[in-house]
Amino acid sequence: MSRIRDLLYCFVYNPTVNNRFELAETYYYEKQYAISLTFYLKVAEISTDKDLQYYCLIRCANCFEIAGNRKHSIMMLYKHAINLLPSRPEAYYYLSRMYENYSDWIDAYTYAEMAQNATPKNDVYTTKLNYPSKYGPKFQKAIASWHIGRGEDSRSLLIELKNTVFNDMDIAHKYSLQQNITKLGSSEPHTIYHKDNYGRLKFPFTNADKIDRTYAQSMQDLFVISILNGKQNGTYLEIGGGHPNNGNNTFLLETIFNWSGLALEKDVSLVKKYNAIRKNKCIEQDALIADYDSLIKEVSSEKIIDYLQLDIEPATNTYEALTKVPFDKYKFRVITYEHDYYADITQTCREMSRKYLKDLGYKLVVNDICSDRNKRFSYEDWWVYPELIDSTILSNMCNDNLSTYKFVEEYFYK
Amino acid sequence: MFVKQVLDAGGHLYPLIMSFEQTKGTGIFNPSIYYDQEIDKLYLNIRHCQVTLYHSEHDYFESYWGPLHYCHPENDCTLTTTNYFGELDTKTFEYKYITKVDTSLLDVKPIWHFVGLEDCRLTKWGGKLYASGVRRDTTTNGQGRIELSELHIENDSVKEISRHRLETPVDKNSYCEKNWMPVVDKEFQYVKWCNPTEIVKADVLTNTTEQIHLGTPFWYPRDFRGGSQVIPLNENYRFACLHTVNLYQSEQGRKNGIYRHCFIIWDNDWNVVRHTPEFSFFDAKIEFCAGMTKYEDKFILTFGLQDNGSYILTIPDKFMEKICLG
Repeated sequence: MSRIRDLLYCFVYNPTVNNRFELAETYYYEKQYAISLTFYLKVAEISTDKDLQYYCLIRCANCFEIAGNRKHSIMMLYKHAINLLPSRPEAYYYLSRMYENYSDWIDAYTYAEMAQNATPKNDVYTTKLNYPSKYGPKFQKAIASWHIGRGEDSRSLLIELKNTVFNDMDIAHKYSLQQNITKLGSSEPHTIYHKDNYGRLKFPFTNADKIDRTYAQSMQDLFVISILNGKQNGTYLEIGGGHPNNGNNTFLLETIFNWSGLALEKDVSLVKKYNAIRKNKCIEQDALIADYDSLIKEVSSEKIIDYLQLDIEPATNTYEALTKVPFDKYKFRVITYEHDYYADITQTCREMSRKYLKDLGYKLVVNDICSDRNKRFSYEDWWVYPELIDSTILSNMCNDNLSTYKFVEEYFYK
Repeated sequence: MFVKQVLDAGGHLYPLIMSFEQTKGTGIFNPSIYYDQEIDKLYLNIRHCQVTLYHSEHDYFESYWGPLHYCHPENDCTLTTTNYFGELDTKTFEYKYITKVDTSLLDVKPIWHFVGLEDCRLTKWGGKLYASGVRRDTTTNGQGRIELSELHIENDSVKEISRHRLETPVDKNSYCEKNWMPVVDKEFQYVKWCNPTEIVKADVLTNTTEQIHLGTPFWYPRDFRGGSQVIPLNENYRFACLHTVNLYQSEQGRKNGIYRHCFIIWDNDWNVVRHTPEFSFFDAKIEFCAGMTKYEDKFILTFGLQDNGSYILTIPDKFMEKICLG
């Protein structure tokens, strides 16, 4: 308050643009937005510095944004700013964000495009506004693209942002980028094995002819049952249950091969769906705080479990869950581990998981399974504990070329 | 700029701010101050609305609705007033506390879009603390009447414990009575109008008022409208800070206005002795004074700027007498 008071005295004795501006700024940072708007607007009207006027108009809009639910007044102020300096990008960008907030995606896209085509000034006002010149407009375009039906554009822009300016992003954009990349995934439908392809299987196994179709996203279920040679009555622990039969790795095992097991899922609506359809149970459980020892005891009294699935999001969480599994007490014949490398903003989880499992004696059989035919979206590794797998089958199914990404049809089919 | 003259004469200026948690960033304005000499406490009532005044004073960045627009939430077209009451330190003018006035005991569902008690002036009559302002939410046509609300302070919480809607003394059907100025040293008396001076006395048992004085009009180009409380200037005079309004339309027919203030001085028989020239506190077009009190050797004024901000101005009593009496 003493700062405001000092500035008020300066203003009274010398009501210059600069003294009014200092008051506006100080009121703004003290969260006195209404009176701050009064001073900003006055500066915008009496100053001859167009960049300063522009900044003040944007700040007026910010004051209304904070007060909430004043779309037309906000829009009006950004448009005044654009009319004043159409070459600057900030007002276009903030308009794009405003339209995003109102789910007005065509306008959000339009103004993002205009922001991208404007000329960043990188002056003191850009800094004061925290305008993300390196990535803001492109990020807006990426988000709006999806909503106006341009899913592929959206994916490409998001991946480009991740690969080029990720380190420059503020924490909110980083988080949002990861969420969006993960959520969008690839546009490819799940890769499903159908009985028609029986003759094309590179790794035939006992009872393969019983399978009409698979249910997993990338034939993880086929991998598990192939490498265990059509095992009946197996056991599993499914960390990240998801949907009971769409993109699910254990539905086939349960229904055709009579496996038993337990799924953990955080989303209560999915838990309800799962338990409505499946014989084996899914429990509502945060995978990061689960008591795995007790849960595995529910699955089997043995110390060897046939299959462990790890598939939660984001990548950092999946890795954390992996480290909580009591590998010192239990061994798993097969593990599918979703590292979500394509979406992992840290770009570290895949390597950490590989080192972790390798040190425990597990062998990487197939690396970097991709969800798309173009092999851009590497998201999973498949592992086994070699001593618990038939060595001939393992030798057949092991892919030693770790440098290439894999699309499952190429892996499974002749 | 009137404030500059006052500072030059040894006065002081203080901003009044409230926390974002209380205001959500919208306007606080038309504060009213009152010094209770009996218990040595300095009280303040401050008006908060869920609107922000957008006023393009130079008509260069007008809103869609013109240069002067009360910007309210787009899903709430009311102008809803909430009053905050606090006690100030008499030396620093910082809050000892500031709290929302609890009106829950007497609230009824508003039926007009101007909601709440507006532009309260504080006074103490008969040993009871009152806020009086205009309320327009009790009829479907927005008829405004002065309401006198008794405030009870307990442990830094403030509760409205009685409410009197005062009928007008003469024209019972008048549309909107506002800005009646309580006379702090005359129980239940108001200066209802300044030109001619009209004094009314309220009866809180019947909620009626009677006209007890009507003076002689004098020529002035604008109406003298109410402002602060009416307080003694010295043993011979009372005075108040009031406002004038020049309401006009832009070339495009959009409303705009300029508010100015002046002091008006009465003798003890309610004859207008003089009034000062009009002035502006900060050279802004919209300002409003709703409070004035005497403390030690100074007068303390409270005023709002553009219906968005609030201030305290202390004026040395000698200087005040000089500008009021010449």
